[in-house]
Amino acid sequence: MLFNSISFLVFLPIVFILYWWSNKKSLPLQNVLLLGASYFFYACWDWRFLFLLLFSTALDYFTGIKMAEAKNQGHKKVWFWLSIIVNLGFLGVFKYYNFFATSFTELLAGVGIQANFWTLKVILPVGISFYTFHGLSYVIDIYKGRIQPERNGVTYSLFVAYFPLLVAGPIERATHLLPQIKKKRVFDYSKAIDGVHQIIWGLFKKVVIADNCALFANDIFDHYQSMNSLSLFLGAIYFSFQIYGDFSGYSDIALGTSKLFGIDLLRNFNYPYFSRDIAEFWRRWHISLSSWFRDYLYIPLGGSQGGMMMKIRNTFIIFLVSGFWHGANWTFIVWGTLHAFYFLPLLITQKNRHNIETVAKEKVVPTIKELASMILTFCLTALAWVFFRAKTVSEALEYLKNMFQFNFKGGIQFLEFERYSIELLLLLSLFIVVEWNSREQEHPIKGKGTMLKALLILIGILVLGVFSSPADFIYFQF
Amino acid sequence: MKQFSKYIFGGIVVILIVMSVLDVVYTKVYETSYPRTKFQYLRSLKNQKVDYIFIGSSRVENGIVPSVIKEKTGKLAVNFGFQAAKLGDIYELLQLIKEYNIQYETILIQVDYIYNIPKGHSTIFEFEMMPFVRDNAITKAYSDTYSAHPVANYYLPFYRYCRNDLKLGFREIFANFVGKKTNIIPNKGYGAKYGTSNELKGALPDVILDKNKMVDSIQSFVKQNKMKVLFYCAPFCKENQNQNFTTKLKTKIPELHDFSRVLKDDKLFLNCNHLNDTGARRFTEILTEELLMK
Repeated sequence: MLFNSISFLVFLPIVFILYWWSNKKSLPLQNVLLLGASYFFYACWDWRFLFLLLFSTALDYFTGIKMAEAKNQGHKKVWFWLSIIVNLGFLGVFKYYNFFATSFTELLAGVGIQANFWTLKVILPVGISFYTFHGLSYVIDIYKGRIQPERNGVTYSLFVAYFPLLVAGPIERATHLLPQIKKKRVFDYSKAIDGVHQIIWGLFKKVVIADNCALFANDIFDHYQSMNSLSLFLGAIYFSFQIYGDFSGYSDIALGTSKLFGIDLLRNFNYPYFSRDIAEFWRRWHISLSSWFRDYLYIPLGGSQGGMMMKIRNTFIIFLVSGFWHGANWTFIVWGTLHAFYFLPLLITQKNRHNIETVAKEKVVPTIKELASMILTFCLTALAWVFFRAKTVSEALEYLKNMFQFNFKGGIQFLEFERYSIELLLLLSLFIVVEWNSREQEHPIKGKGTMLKALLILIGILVLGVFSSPADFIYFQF
Repeated sequence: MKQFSKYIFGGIVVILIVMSVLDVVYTKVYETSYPRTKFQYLRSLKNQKVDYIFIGSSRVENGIVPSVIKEKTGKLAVNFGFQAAKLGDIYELLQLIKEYNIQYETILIQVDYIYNIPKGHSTIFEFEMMPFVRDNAITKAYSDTYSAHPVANYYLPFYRYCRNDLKLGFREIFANFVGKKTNIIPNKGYGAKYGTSNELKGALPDVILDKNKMVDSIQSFVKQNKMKVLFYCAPFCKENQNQNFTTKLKTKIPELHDFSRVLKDDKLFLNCNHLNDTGARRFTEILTEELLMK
C-alpha cells in the first residue's frame, strides 16, 4: 500500500475516524487500533513477512525484559548478544547472503578456484532494515542502561510497527517514540492541519518532483552509452532530485500522517541540498539514520576521542556501513566510501562542524561564497549518486567517463520517451526557489497564507504530477 | 474535531471545483486548438468534404501518402491509420465519420491479420479520443468498452487527464494552447518511416479465424448507412511466411483487394509489415491506379 495510492487514500481516513472515535474510550484502545492498522498496512505488502515482523518484535521485547531482569552482567550480555545476532542474522540472510555468496565465488574465481555457493531465491521483506534498526536501538539502549524495557506488549509492538514509519522510516528511538505511545493522545487541531499540509507537500515532492525526474533519469541512465555529456550531467542532476523528492517526500507524508494521530516523528530531512559542505549535508540528509550510526556505531567505536587516525578509521567505518545498509551491492559501498573521502578534508582540518546554522539565515539571498559552496557540495553529492543509481560499479564509471569527455555533440538530446533532456530544469528551478524560501521551517505550507499555498500545491500536483507511471518509493527496497 | 472535519470537507469541495475547472479548460483547449493529433484532425473535418478516407492500423498510417493521391487524381485524401488499430477502432472511426457528418467519396479500409484479433484496441486512438469522451454516445461507448476506468474517465472531472498525463497532460495542453504544430495536417495523417531492416522476416497466421463479429458489424453498418467502402490488404515483404493467409482472408471478405504481394523489392520496406517512405509512395501510386483511377 503506497502512500500515493488510492488504497492509502481509503485506508487513512478509516483509521483516522476509528482512532479518534475510540479516543473517547481509552489509551489501550487507541494503541490496539493503531497496531491492528499497522499490521494490516504491512500485510498489504506481503502477509507472509508479517510473521518475520512479529518474531523480530517478540525477540526484542523478551530480550529487553530478560536483560533488565538479569541477575548479573554475564546473563545480561547473553540476552543482549542473542538479540543482536538474531536481528543481524535475519538482515544478513534476507538482505546480504546472496551478495556475499556471489562476491566470494567471484573472488575465488579470480584466484583460480572454482566454487559454487548456493544463492537463495528470497524476496527482501519490505522495511526490514528499518524495523531491525528500531529493535537494535531499543535493545542497545536497555543494555547501556539508558532506558527501562517496555513491559506492555502492545505498546512495544506499536513502537516497532507503527505504520507511518514501518516501511521506510524515519528510524525512531525508544526515548522519543515510546513516551508518546504511552500517553493518551488528545486531538490537536493545529497539529492535525499541519499534518495535512505536510502530507500535501510530501505528495508534491513525490508525485511531481521525484516521479517526473524518474522518467528523465531512467531514460538517461538506461541509454547512457548513446547520451552526450550534457544529457549525462542532467541525468545525474535529475536523479539527485528524484531521490531527494522521493525519500524526503515519503518522510513528509510519514510525519504528516503521524501528526494526524497526535504523534511526532523524528525529522528526517532538513533541506540537504542547501548544505555548504558534506558534513552539513549529512546533518540534513536522512537524519534519523545518520544520527543512529553516530550514536550506536561511531561513538561506541571511540567517536572523535583519540587521535586523528582513529577519527579517520571511524569515519570510514561509518560511511562504509551506511553504504552497505542501503543495499547489497558494491555500488552502495563505493557510494559510501566516496562520501568518506569527501568528508576527510573537513575532518583533518577540523572544519566538519563549521556550518551548523541554516545558510543565509534571515536573508533573502546567500553570499557568493555560500552559493559557491552549496553548488560544490551539490555537485559532489550528485557525482556520488551516479554510483547509487547505476546497476554496477563499472556502469557508473563508464557513465562518469562519458560525462567528463565533455562531448556535447547533438546538443539538447531528444529522449526515447519523447521529451527533450532539458525540459525539467524550469520545474526544478521553481522547486529550489520554493524550498529556499522555506528553509527555516519544516515545510513550505506554513506561515502566512497557508490555505492559498496548500491550494496552489494541490493544483501543482494535479497539473504536473505523474499518475500514469508512478514510480515505487526508492527506499522501500532498503 | 468539528473544525478539522469542516476543513477537510471544504478542502475536498475545493479540490473537486478545481478539478472541474481544469477539466473544462483542458477540454476546451483540445476542442478549439489547431489539431495536433489525428483524432483532433478527424473532429476538425466535421461537416466538411474530403474525397478519400483511409482507415486502419499503422500499415495505413505509414503506407498511404495523400499527397501522391492528390498529384495523381487531384483529389483530397486523408489518412486515419492509427498505430495498433484493430477492427473495433475501425468500426469506431466509421461511426464517427457519420456522426461528425464528414462527407466523402470512398472509404478505404485496410484489413489483414487483424481479422484474427477479435478483441483489443489501439491505445494511441484511446488516449487521443480521451479529451472527447463526452463528445457523443460513440466516444462514450468506445471508452466503456476499452478503457480501464470508464466511469471515472467519464464522470470524475480531470481524471482522464491525470491518468494520461504523459500524453494529455500539461506539456501537451501547453503545446495546444500556444498552437505548436505537428505534421498531422500538412501530411494529411501520413506518418513517414525511413530506412530498411537488414533482415526482413515475418509470419502471417497459418489459420484464419472462423468469424470475426466486428467485421459483420462493420459490414452491416456500411450497408445500413449506404457508405461506399473498399477493403484492401497492404503489401507484406516477400519473405513473409504463410502468405496464403490473404487468400483465406478473401474467402471471409470477398470484396477485398489484395495488394499483399505487389511489392517485391526489400528496399521498399522498413520491416516485413511496414513500408518505408519510398515504398509507401510506390504503393500509393499502385493503389491509386488500381482502385481510384479506374
